[in-house]
Amino acid sequence: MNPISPVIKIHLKHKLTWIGMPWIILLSSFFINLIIAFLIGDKAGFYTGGLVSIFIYMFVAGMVTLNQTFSFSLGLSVRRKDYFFGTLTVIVMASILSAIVLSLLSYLESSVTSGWGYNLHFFSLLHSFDANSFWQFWIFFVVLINTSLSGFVISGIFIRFGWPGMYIFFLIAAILLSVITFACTYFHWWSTLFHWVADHPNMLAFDLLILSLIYAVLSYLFLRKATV
Amino acid sequence: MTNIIEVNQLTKSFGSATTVNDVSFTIEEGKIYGLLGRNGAGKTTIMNMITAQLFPTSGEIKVFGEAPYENQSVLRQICFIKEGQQYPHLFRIADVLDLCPSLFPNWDNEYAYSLLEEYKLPVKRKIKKLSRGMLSSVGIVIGLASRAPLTIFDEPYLGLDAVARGIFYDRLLEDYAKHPRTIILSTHLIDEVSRMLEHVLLLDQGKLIINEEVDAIRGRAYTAIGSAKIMDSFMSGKQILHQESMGSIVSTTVFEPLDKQTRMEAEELGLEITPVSLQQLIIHLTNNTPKRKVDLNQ
Repeated sequence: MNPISPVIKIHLKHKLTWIGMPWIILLSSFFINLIIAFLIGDKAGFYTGGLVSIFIYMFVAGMVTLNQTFSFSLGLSVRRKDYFFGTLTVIVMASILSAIVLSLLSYLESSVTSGWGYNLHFFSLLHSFDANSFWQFWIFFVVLINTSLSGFVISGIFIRFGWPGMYIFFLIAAILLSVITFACTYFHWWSTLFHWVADHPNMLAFDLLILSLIYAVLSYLFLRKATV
Repeated sequence: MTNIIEVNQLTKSFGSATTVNDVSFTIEEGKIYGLLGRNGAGKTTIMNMITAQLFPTSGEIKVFGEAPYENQSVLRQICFIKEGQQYPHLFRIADVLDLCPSLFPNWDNEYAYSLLEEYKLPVKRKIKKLSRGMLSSVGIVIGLASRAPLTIFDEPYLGLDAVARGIFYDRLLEDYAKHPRTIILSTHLIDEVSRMLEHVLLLDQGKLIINEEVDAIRGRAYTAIGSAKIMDSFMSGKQILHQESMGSIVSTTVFEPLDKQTRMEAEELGLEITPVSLQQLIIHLTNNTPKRKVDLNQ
């Protein structure tokens, strides 16, 4: 038997975590925004950031899942390697599934129902992203996988290095973020940055994918040396 | 005899504290071992290292002839029932049992469910909602039904009442007879398990102080009971493990084999000789009071 299949089974025992919950949260956000759009009735179009809730959820799920299942799996004689690849498979599958549904809804929103009748932009936020269906799917997929793996790798730091690791990580992260933010403000890089992102969505997606790969490799290295 | 586990000069330190200190032993196929010792003696740490869940600071471990770390062919032959096993918070008993056939090649589902019934476990209940005793029973069911060639139980019956522990001992011996395997039991309820154990590894503060067959251990000490006056002359030159007095009567545990001559001498003096139970002996050996000044390695 494939050694990663028990790990996949562990994750899919409660499909709610990776498949149900993200959509329960996203759809609640969507319906609230739809009601708001209906109440406002602004024909100019209503843009909302509600979509971000699914990405935040995936980040949290990536973080929690390691904590919930890693030592459980090791306790049942699962190899660290198999745990990692099994979990990665589940994260990739869940991201593909959610990305497909997101792309479909985005297509329905922008091209079929013209914003669900109220010119609402919930799923389709940037025109440069919905040029074609595959591209749309790809962007969603990359962002989903990136958010879940970033949660996963942060949890990996904790599993591998404990609280000291967490302190050092957040210290470095805080310093780096402050320096970058300061530099962007000081050298007036913000607008250049945003324009670059808007003009090069493919490069952005590519960078996010590379980052996700780095997260995956780091998580693997952390887990290989993690103890229970 | 095939060696299932070979541990060689194993040491584990956490910072400046050494939990396991230069421990070496082998575990042979098809026996029931007791890994005994007080809390904090290093039992769980050793078991975690055998199953590659913790890494040794130094030393070598071979399980089924190979290093266990990330070794699929070794790990799938092990079932380690940990006292502190974590379960995902949504998991029910049934969820864990569903996973077992894909984790343990020898898993017997029918047997697992018959054990569940015997322990009256609510299969649909979440594991987080179980009492300590029920949680222990879940571990026992998994450990027995996994029929893993190397099954390790770490304090398997915390919170279990005497009846439930009895069920565990009976089922374990029964199933062990039908499906021989190597079993390691870590516990401090020594008297209860002593009838099952064939070999004892006794740890004290990270050091392995006894590694012997149970029968041999029992023969290593005896207790003499009699009046204090006679006792003093009888005991001169003997290794005394423990002495207790009640009025003029003294009970003395001697750490040396009882030979014929000594037995006759005791009888003549009117001293009563009784065997030391495994538990008593181990309490004596691991009770770190200044009284215990015996060189145990003699």
